Amino acid sequence: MRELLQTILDGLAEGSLYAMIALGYTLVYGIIKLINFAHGEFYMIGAYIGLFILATPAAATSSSWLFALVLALAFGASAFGASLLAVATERIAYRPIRGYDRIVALLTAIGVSFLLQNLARLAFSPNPRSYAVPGNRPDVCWSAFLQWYHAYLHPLGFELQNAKLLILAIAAVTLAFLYTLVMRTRFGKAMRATSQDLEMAKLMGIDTDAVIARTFALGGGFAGLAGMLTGMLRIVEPMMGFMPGLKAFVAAVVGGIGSIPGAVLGGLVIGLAENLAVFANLDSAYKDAVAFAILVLILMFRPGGILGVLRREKV
Amino acid sequence: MADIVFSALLYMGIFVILSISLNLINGFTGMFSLGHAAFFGIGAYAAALYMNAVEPVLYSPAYWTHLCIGIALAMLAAGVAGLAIGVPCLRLTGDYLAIATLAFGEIVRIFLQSFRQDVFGGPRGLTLAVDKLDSHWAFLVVLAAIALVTIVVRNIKSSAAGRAFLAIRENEIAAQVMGMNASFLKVEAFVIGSALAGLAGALFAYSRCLIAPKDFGLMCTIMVLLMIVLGGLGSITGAILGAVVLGLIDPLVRYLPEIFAAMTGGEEDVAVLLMAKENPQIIYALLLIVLIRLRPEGIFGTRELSDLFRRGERAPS
Repeated sequence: MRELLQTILDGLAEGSLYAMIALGYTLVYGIIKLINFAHGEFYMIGAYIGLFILATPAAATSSSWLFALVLALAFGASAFGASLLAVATERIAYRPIRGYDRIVALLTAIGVSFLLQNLARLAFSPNPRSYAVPGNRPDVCWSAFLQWYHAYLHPLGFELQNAKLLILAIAAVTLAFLYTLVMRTRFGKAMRATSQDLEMAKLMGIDTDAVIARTFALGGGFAGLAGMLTGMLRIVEPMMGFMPGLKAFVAAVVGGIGSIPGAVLGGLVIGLAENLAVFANLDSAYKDAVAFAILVLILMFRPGGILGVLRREKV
Repeated sequence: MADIVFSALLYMGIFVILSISLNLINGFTGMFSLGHAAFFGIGAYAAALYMNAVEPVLYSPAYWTHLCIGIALAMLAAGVAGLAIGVPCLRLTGDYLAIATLAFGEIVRIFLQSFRQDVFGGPRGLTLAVDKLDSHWAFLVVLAAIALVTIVVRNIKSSAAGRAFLAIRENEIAAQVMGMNASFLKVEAFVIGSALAGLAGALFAYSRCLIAPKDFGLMCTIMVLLMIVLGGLGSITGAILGAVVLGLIDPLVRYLPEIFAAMTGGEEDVAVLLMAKENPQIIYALLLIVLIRLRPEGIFGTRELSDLFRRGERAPS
């Protein structure tokens, strides 16, 4: 019983990570009906940007104020850098093909994803890196933080990693932020309008290009943040965005693509399912296949997703 | 030297068959499948396992019989897999179908990597117990296979079923209104396409000593996709052309620094070309992006080579 609850907790924590990435997918799909395969690469870039900032000499400080500043800068830069990449990708690769066939959009997205992965391999070398401080100096604030990050809390006999709690908290905040943005602000209204009918939105005076660009920026930014948060926990390597990106997309579809709460729900479902499957004695080698199996099931029985609305095709 | 040339040609040939098979699904019927490499892999593993079980002596008369049986088994296995994957995906269109087939492809690859490692060989791959065919013999077999596949697919294209596939691509609902059983036809196209991919897989297995799951991943599917996009979705000639062109580009990219040096007579290594050599996938990714934007219909579009020789009016399909 205890192990089951522990598994559920782990699943929720992992799921919140997928949720953060899935939010970006669902935002972009909701707005221009494009599956941005390259989204996983925004996640990856966030991890690298954070890595580079924290590798500078300024980060290896003992002063907690300075370190707090550098850390904040790293978080900010990883999110900002990822959103910059997202906007650039939209401008260079996706805007010129807007209005073309779906197959064109899909193939372009795949191409961009592969391009970014391989450019990262070229630029950053395929060797995995970690956020650990070289030499493991205990006086440096950074190692203290990392230690805390990797440490486990033990409330009520359960094991909870601080990192996962932080990710859960940040994911919750992200959900709240995005939901409020989309539902309660003028910009959110513009987003919803653009997603419902692009032409009409333009006629109503909405700058749809800007709306789309900013949507990409939002989605990319959160993905980058998620990347850095995960990168601090695990290793950083150029292909790290591939699987999480794919699973996050599955999460977005499972929850209902185009729906913000759906993305989060989908993420949690996938995270839970993966961990429960391993708990039920599934070989961990097949863990990745669980997400895809759920995708197939959802597409067969409820293609709109759990919270989604299936649009009937009209002739 | 001849060995290298024949090897290159035979891999080009295998990819020709793969391109034609994917073209049947993507180009003719308009179903956007991203899991094609899975069928390639299933066919390869089926053929390899059969050969490992039977272990005929190379080039004995029994060998050729077992080769044919192995190919048949591979096609059957891949076709059944196509059925298993096609039926659930019936109702899906466009993006959703792409993702579902991508997911299936990944599931297959994960299975080949992890399931029963004593049988399938695990991540390192399956070694074949039989010696591989010499490259010139393998090339002849592949050539024969290409000829057969081209004739069969061409006949399919001009048959009622083929026209039905094309109709589904153009407008599925209109085709249904005209009385075509779209679901059945889509599954039919999927199964035929996957069986042909299985054929390619069997030939692939016979020409190598080792097959590994990483050969059958997303990158493989993307390469084949690039080939048919380059040649023209919906055109058999295009698929062949695309496979040939990409088969030529591949060694070109690998040896580009040397070629450049030879041409300019200089000792300098151009950094850009060295980078390209390290990472040929960047070139392919760029090619895909640029190509799909500048000329989405590819070189041949939906026309065939034979259309160029036709006199009189005939609407290309």
